Amino acid sequence: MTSAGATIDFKNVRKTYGKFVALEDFSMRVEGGEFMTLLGASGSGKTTALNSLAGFVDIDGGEILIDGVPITKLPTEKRDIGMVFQNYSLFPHRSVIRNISFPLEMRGVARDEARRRSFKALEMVRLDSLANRMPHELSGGQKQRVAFARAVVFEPRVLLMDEPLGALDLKLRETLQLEIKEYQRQIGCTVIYVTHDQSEALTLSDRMAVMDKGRVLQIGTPEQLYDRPQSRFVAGFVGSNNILKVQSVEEGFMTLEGLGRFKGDGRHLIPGGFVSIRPELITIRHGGSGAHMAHLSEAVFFGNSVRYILRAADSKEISAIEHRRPGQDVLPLGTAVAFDLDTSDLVPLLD
Amino acid sequence: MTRIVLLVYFVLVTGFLLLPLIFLLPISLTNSQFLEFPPKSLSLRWYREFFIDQSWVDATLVSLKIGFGATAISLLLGTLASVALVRSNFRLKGILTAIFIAPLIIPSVVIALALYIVFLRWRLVNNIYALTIAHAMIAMPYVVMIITGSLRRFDMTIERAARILGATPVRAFIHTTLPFLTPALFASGILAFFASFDELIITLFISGGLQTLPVRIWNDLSLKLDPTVPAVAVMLTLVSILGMTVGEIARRRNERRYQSNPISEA
Repeated sequence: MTSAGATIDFKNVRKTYGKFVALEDFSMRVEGGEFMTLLGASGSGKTTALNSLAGFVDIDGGEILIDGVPITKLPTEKRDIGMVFQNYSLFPHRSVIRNISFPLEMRGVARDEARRRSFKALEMVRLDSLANRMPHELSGGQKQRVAFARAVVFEPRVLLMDEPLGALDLKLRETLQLEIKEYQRQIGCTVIYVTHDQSEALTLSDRMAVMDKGRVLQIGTPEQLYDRPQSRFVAGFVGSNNILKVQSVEEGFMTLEGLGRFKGDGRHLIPGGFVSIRPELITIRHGGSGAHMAHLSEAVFFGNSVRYILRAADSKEISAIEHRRPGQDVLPLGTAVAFDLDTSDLVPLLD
Repeated sequence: MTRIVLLVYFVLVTGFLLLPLIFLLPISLTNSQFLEFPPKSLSLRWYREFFIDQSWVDATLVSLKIGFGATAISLLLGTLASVALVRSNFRLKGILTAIFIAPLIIPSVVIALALYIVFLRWRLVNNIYALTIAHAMIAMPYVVMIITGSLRRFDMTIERAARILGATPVRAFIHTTLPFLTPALFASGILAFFASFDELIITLFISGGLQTLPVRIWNDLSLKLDPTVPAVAVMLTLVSILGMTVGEIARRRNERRYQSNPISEA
């Protein structure tokens, strides 16, 4: 079961519902075989983008192309796209194997051939022992595996996934993330994956696009989005982050609002602009004294690390993540600590 | 104290609902020429009488023909109308919904009179097909009410899934929505059938010489009343209980499939 992934082009797609603009000038290119994630809050337009590619909504402007061929005039069933839905959407009156063979049935594949291929898909998701069960006899994870097998059994070149793990608990979600990634590598199809879970997006994607108010804010590899967010929205949405304001930049020094003066080069920064820095890049010195002092106002224990919220003299808060060795105690709240950061780690944000 | 009051209330209300039916059974089993309660001796004489008397059998066949015809027409048109009423948005949708439900609310006599006038002009009185269509009209509200209710609870993403997996709109409907609607179609089919099967007033106006089962009973009442009528009534009751049971079994089976039951993760 393999297919060469198709390229997908969204060109200036626009979709409105009355006064609500769901997609505005939405443009994006997804390369063949790529795993692309659309990440955004509800109402950001990510699902509308997926549904317009699937043909469930008619777009008001722009064009969508698969391998360079415009598809917006094609009815849904002619687009040859696989899709997995959040609520599984298995056919309740069909057994597992007949759910999976449905797309083959619709394509006029002979019975025996359809059965053989469906079994192969079922073996891939390791549920071949449940072929004759009815969907209501399956657990959530099993249902989603069946839905996945059904979506890829006809070897589509494009696979859409709409929050497929949204209804499952955390542990199972992590297991299925790994499985999905493995199957996609095996099959080779292009995947567009929609989620509001940033950690899921970071785990799965080759590239990801952060969406807000019907537009793509930033698109890039997970590393690029994590390391170099371009806007306050992206910095706040992907991973946890400190967003700070630059007060002034001088030769060899710079001042962050509420935190004080830091030694280091700040030439890449603009006074009055915002910067972000990851909590794991803030260093803490226990009990010591230093240029920058703060009190611990909160501590969250993660096992391998501890997240502290530091309150600086100016009551400005900043979060720091410290890796932890076995036996190391979490510092009590109220402890005075010295903290520091490397100004070259500060990422300038455009807005 | 409250329990006793509630018990008395329960017995009174259910008794009120069931009593006439309870009387019918012994009366139908009498061996006498007349309606008597309690019967002096029991026999199935009047049941046999029903099957021997050609006019009863003919009337039953006419009623069955019209009933099945009206059910088929009302199910087909009612289901199509329900899809439009639930899934699309257009002006006058509210008014159209009201029109489909209207035959249930407008007094039968009014509909009967209106149909009589129209049918007289179009020479459709004493025409079994015209009568079937008239019955389909009064059966349609049951279908539209039950099917629209059921359609509103249907998760459209299942039909969407069928579409993206390669089904045309019609095939997607047949493979996903239709199986979901089966129990509702069954239930509304039974209601539609009995709406037609026991319809009397409209039939009296426009049937001309055609004798349906209710018309036959009605005619019997005004001439001579023998225990065949209660025998027919008991048989009708049994048939409808059977129909309702089958419908309920179908509904429960479907409900199990569509509920997202919590099965522990493996």
